[in-house]
Amino acid sequence: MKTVIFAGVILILIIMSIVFANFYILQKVDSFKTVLNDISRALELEDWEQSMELIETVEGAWDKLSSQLAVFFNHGELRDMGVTMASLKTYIMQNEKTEAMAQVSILSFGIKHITEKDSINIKNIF
Amino acid sequence: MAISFVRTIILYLLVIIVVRIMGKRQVGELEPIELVVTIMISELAAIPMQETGIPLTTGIVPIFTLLVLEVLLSFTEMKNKKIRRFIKGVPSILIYEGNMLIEEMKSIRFNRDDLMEELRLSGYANIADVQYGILETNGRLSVIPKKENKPLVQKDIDTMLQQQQQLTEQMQKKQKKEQEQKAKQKERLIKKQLENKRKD
Repeated sequence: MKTVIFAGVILILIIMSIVFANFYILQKVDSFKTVLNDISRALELEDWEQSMELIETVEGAWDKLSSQLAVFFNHGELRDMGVTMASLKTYIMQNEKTEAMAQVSILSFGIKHITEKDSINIKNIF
Repeated sequence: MAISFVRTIILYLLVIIVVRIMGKRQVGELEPIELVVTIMISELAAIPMQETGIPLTTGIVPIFTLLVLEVLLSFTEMKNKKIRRFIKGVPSILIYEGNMLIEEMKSIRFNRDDLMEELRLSGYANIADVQYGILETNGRLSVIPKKENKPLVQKDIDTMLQQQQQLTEQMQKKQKKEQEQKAKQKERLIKKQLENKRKD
């Protein structure tokens, strides 16, 4: 009976951590999406200073977040996001609008992929 | 490399805990479902050990989930006979009174050679010596020999000794009775002879 109770506690802990992790990831990713949209708008207006400020903020936040996300996601995918962010920064520094916009799109797709990857739906289950 | 080392220690300890919680059965005594779970756990533990790019949680969460399912399922099996039969199946009688039950063997796809091998491993070279041959749910064959082929056990020896003692006692009583009867007959004869002498 002790083992059954222990198993029940583990089950509850697993479910709770899944719910918490999903909620936490969604919250963090939403704030990232907002900043990426801001970068995109600044790039459209060719406001390089504003873009640079934003990418530096995102980069700092990403360093913190990626170490937390590494608990749940493939480290390779997170590294790819970091690489894309570094490329975006370089393109902004070089005032390359088209390339920078492309990198923002890749980042947006990566962020979207992270949220969709762990959500419970038919596509992911099968 | 250091990460692999640390991860291996963590997963090794985790697997020990999980296997310990799951039960004490030996590998040879595992039910098919338990064997499958054991293989899955070993596989799940091995992947994050080698691949440092994969988060440790992708190994830990499924291992704990399997543990939870295994414990809860075995608890349900213990409480419910129907569920137990559905998950573990029922034993099959393959030999009855020295004869193979071919239909039953066909239904579980158990061939003659396997059966004879199991019989020999149980110490019976001749199928005619077997009263019941039952294939258990863990894949082992239980052999119940015919009465005349059952090995001698302490109980049999005790019964034999008891019977022998009873026989000896009966014989002794009989001998005593016979001796008494003979003595009485002798007495009667002597008495008769004495009476005859007196009459004469």
